[in-house]
Amino acid sequence: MRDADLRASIRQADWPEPSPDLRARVLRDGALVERPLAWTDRIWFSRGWRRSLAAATVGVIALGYLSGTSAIVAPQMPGEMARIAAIEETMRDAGLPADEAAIFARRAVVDSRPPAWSMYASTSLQRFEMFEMNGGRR
Amino acid sequence: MTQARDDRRDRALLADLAAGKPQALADLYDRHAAPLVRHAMALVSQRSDAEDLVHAVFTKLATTGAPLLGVRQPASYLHRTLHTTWVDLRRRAALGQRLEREHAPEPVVLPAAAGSIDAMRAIDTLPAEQREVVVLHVLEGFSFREIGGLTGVSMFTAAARYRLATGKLRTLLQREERMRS
Repeated sequence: MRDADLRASIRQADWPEPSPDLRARVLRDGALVERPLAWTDRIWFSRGWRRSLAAATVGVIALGYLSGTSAIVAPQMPGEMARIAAIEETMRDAGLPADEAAIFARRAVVDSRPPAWSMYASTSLQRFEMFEMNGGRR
Repeated sequence: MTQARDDRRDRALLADLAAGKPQALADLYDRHAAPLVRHAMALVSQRSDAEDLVHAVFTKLATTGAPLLGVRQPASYLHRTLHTTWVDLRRRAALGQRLEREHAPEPVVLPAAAGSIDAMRAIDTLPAEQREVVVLHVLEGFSFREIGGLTGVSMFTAAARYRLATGKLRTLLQREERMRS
């Protein structure tokens, strides 16, 4: 027996139809009261709203990465904290208010960082030079 | 038996239902009651139980309200609601025990002993999970991925259940054909 024959025999079987009584029961027990939907519900459950929310979240995260704000707040390179403190002190001595001196110092240190790719390139170059100096041995 | 699904129309009806329009419930019933009854019959063999299940689905639908606006595939949603309602019913202890007895796979009755066997009786010999997949796939046109989604199993499990079911049905119906010839 082929699959098509089997499907045909299943479709042709005597499947029951819903009784008229069931329709009456459903309409009676599901008695509804008309109530206008709140605009907040319409927005919350709309596909456009959810998509735009997701897009906005991705946008905010991307902007955060691009702006480098987090890098200013959290210096990570070795010796940066000491440099920030030194610059900050100098700026305060020069008469700048403490908070502005802190911002200036952080910005100056972060801006002087080499881009990530150039750090990678210089590290690779150093390794290559070491390799050459060792006569091709690692 | 399989009808083209009109999700756009169904979504509009669900939105009307969320706003409490009674005509929307009637229209949704007229569009989906027959497939839901067939699905329910695959899960419970008694017609009255099947109709109770479908009744429970529409009652839930009428009381859901605004979340209906978030439904993207109404047909799948309705069948999933029916399946979860059935699972809930099975879990209730007293009714569960009775349903277990009713839905335990019956021993396959050989045609030689029982006379002729038609497709409907052959389907009745299958376990509920296999009957459900057969009905949803062959009669209602759901893919295995959709069936997996609405019954809470992977599409591979759904496909395996279908393969097992059709293997048994083929054996039974071929015996019947041989008996006739």
